[in-house]
Amino acid sequence: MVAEMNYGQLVGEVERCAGGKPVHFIPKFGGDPHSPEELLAVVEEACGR
Amino acid sequence: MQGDEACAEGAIVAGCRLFAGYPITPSTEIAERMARRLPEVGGVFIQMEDELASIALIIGASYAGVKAMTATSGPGFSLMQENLGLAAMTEAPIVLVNVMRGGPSTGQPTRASQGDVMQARWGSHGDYETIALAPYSVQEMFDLTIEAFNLAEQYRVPVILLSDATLGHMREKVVIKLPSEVKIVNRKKPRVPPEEFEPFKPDEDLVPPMACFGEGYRIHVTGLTHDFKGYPKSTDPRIQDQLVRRLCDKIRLNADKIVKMDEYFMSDAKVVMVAYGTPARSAIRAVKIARSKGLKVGLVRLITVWPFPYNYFREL
Repeated sequence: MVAEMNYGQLVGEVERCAGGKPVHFIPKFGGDPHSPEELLAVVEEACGR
Repeated sequence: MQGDEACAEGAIVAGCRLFAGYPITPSTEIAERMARRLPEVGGVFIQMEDELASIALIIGASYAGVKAMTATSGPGFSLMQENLGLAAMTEAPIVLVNVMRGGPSTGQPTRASQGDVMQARWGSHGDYETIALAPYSVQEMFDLTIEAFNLAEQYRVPVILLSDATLGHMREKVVIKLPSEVKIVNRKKPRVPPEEFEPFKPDEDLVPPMACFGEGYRIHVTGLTHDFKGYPKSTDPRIQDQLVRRLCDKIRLNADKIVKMDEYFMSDAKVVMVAYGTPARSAIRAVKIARSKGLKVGLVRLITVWPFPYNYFREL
């Protein structure tokens, strides 16, 4: 999972290295960083919770 | 202190003695701090007419032997791209701070973004490499500014500090280290007499020793493809091949030495989060909460954004 305050920049570099493993991108716009709760929700979803 | 102020203090400790810049939100506090602090340490602050002139001046200052820096945000960073390429081509050690804000164009002057990450890597034309660092705290605004100067001096390359509006304006406690307490790198100097010196002839590490104007060495500096003496050879394919490969390889082949990152809970992680800069702060918190719930999650916080740690991620 890649969290960036943009619409996808370094996530592309991670994907190039992932070797087919799934890569989830978590963008954020508007000027505020992601909150821990936002990221945690994505983590829990990825972990099947 | 503010992140922007910590950046300025880091620059002073690193030995920066010239700042040239043009005000732009949210980086202006760096210029303001440098305007006050540089005269106290025998340095020079110059407000330039625009961003093009700002980066041009610090390239010249670097060639005059002075550690120099500029700071800007997205729109100004765009204006600096031509001369960023000149700095890469002429191997001028400079530090460029980009306190990123929302874009494109003038976008959101007072709001944070990480929209300039690719521009830091690919913004100028031609084949070249830069180094970009991404601080995540006010302390790292101080520490990584010093690191930026050290890398610029070691590899003779423009180094970009990629901050953002949140971090630039955030206030945190900072430990200001003395120059004697930190590692300071200075550029290699010629080890041969002036009559034998070739200003762009590299050592084994692919980095040429750097003589500066006024030190008695003959130096020719051009953005054109040049030979070891610095003379234009813009129609010679072999010289272009040799030069471009070296400009890229001095960074690519040393990437493992340059790259820094922090790992959290990675030893048994089944899911990995990647973050850098301000979002990494939330990511650290999120991963700690996830761990407390028994989830095997790890975090990689990139400190060096460019060169990107391809080898590390391929091996995960």
